[in-house]
Amino acid sequence: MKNPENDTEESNTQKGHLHPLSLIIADIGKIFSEMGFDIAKGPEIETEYYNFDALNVPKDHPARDMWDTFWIKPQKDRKLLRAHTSPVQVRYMETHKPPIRIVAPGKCYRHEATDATHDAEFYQIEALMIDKDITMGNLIWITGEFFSKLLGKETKTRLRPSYFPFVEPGAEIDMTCFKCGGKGCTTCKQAGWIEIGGAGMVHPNVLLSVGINPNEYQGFAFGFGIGRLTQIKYGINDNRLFHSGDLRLTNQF
Amino acid sequence: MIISRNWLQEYFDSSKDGKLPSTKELAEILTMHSFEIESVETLPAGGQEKSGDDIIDIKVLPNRAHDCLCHRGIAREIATLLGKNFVDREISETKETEDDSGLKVEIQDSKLCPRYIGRRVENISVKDSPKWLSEKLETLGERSINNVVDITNFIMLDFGQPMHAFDADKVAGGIRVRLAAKDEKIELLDGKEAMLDESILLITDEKGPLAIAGVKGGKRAEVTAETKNIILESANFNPSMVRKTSQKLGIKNNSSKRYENEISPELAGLAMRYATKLISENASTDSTKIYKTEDIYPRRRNSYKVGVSLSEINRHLGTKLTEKEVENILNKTGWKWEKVNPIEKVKTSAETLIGKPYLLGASVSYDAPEKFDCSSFAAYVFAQAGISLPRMSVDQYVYSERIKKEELSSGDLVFINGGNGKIHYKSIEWLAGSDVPEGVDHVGIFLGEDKIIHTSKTTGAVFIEKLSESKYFAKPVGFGRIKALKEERFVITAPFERLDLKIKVDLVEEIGRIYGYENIASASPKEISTSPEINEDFALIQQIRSSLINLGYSEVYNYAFSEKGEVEVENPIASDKPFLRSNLKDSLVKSLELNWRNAPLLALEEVKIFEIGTVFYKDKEQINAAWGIKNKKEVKVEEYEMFAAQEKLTNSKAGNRESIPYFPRKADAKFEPFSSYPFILRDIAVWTPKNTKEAEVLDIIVEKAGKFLVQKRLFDKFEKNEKVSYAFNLVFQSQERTLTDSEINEVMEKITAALNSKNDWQVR
Repeated sequence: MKNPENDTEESNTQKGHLHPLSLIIADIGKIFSEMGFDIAKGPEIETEYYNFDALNVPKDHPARDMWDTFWIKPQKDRKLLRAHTSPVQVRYMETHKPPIRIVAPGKCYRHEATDATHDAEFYQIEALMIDKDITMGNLIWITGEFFSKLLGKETKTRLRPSYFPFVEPGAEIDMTCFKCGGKGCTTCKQAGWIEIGGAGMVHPNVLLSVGINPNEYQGFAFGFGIGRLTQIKYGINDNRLFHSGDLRLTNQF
Repeated sequence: MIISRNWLQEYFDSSKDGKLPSTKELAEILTMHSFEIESVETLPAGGQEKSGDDIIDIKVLPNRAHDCLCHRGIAREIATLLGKNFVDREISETKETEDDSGLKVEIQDSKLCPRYIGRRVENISVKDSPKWLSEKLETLGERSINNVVDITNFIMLDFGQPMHAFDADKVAGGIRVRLAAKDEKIELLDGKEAMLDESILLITDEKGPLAIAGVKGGKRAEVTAETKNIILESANFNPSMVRKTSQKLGIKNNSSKRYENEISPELAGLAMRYATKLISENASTDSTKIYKTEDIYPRRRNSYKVGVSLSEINRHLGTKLTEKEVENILNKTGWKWEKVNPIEKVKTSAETLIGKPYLLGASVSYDAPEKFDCSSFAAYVFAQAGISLPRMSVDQYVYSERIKKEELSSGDLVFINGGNGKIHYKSIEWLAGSDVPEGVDHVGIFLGEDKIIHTSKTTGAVFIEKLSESKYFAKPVGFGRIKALKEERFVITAPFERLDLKIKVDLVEEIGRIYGYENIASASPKEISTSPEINEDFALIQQIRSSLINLGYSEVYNYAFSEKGEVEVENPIASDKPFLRSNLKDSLVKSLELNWRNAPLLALEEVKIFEIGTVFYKDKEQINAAWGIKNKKEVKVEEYEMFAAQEKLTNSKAGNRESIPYFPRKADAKFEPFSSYPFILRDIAVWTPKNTKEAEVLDIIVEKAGKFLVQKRLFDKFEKNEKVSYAFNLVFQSQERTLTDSEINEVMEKITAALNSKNDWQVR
């Protein structure tokens, strides 16, 4: 497979510049479609059901605190701005039978204080793979392939235990620090690794909620922030620049 | 959860084998097997007075908040990971008086308060805590109050069970746990008043509220230095009720956090014993009298049994673990576990239950193994074999694999439609809504040799009979096999604290993370033959992008939150932007203005930008594309829904949605932070001899301009009388400060002088 980084022939017809997030989304789409993944999309205003309930995040459960959510008026309609791209998993599985391989890039919203690496409006990508025999080992392989294709061969990834209600076992994905390459520096707080996304084996309750028999099918899902990756890849110091409408950003690409 | 290393060490032998590794090593092991470490802080030793310690902030997520929001839980986890011997607290029974305390406890609704233990202790001495206790709390950033309050706080941080102490002399009559009345009020320990309503659970006495259950104590019965007699509380409250109360009153604390995450009611008993021991050791007088507890615990839950087979573990993790390896891991956990042959286990457990009485709707967690209905019997018996069946017979029917009567063997399920009572024609929990046209309302377990075991209203108890002669099973609607029966299973009895261990994959995770995710081999998935399907929307969006950049437009993103729109957010982050945008135009116009101001810096004669994004209307959202131009003459913006946009841009209705364009880009593009200081724009025009190249002029300009020249653009060139005139925009800017006119004037003079010094060159 060709590395998108090598596709550098300047076209004479290109006059405008693309936003760096669009470049990364195009890269992600390309890398995953070469691995046989479809692209899927879903709405930005979601129902509580798709954003939480169907993903095994019950009402009045502390797990809900993991997502600071914007609710749409009137609140009794229980509509919200999706806090992650995971609802797309559920929507896709409702209409497709396994084997399933999808990625879903999209915009998400969280009621969080903004700083150089957090914004209330941000982009995520979700990947989902379901079949009879998909394993954690496959998850490790796919994430490893993806990150090394996007950010270069020297980029290594690892999984470590974590918790998201819609996966079990659950994991956090770390990649080798882009600043020090794993030796340890201030950016990675001497760890050599930085946290880049969440992952795990899809929880049987999620499969049941879409009518897939978890005794027959299994698979993984993972998701991560596109903004963070874009910042890392291009050295963009402040993610608030993404929504600034400013060509001083765009025209550098 | 903030953890003290010294405190943890108390849970291990003080001998050499029990010594914890370095904190750094400990943090690494926890990171790779259990929890993220937020920070590690080293507290220096303060001479003889204070021993040094390491304070580890461990991120405990909701799945482990049941057991790990305390030192004991974290210590147990570390014991498992390090294969070290866990030394639990020694809680000897404290001597109790046989006298009647007179303490009465009443619970209005045991769903909201599954357990309440109260204990009266008389003639104690409330004073400052002993040093070991105050130091422990202070090390973790908690305030030491007095020996009694500190003991309750210590137990919460040690065992994870919030406790409370009331001044018994300020409590009037017995304790009643009840919902608040409308408009009831309570003065809290911190002096604030809280308004209550019927959704809030209270601890009350005859006079009214004493505390908000699980959330905050009240002022009225506060333990003070004058307190002589106390009532100790160790209770269990409903997690979602505590969560709702805590949210409603805006009170979040150590206690509410533990309750809202759910803790086992079993813990309350352990904590009460421990608290009593510590009170007796640290707050007693010669005349201290410890009464027996009043323990209201109407429904005690059975221990969970969870099972998994070796092949299920490997099938999920993608590992090749051996039986031996799994056994070693299980041995490290300290859990009670056994390896079972499921068919044998189902048979033996079923047969030992013969004669147990029938109860319709009997609960597997609470009523078993004393009372059963048909499906709770099947669920309970299979749970003993480490197989979790759905609770209802119709779900057990859908869950099991259909087999023929001739295939029937030991452990298979036999279903009937008895024709009376509620017959289910659709599954309820398992693959909810699956059709069961034959209808199911009863299940029995086949035990081989023509024997069937079941329970029903008619039999009145668990009953074994010959299938061929059973009137009940004369006309079965189907036979079901549970696939998991055929392999040996590891069956564990989940410790009561581990409310997270409920189903097979929970055990897969435990085994996987103790083994180490880093030890799981990366493996490429089998190829899927189908080629990926093109998502039309994504293809269309990428084509619009492609068309627009080819037309010279550059892309911007703007925020969706907006001053106006049709859809409003309940909890906006900025009060002036509570809406979601209903068009892209408004913000695009602002972007045009912003970029027009920077046009010289960007070396642009006109600004051409576009945005593709979601807009929100009252009843729908859609993806729009908008593009606009601003130059000296005009501002022009167009906006269309994406299909219309594509049509407009390509003059074709069809559009090609079969392929997704990919965009060429600069290799190794790296972002250069731009200056936030204003730039200064100057023009310079120079006459040069006819054959002079642009680059020659620029070289001189760049050389003389110095480091502040950030942009240069030829904006005019013409020839006259064997001479050529070049005119440039020069843009100056500093990364660190605002440049002054006079310093740039100097630069311009240098440039002018340098250009004029060339033969036949003349700055105009």
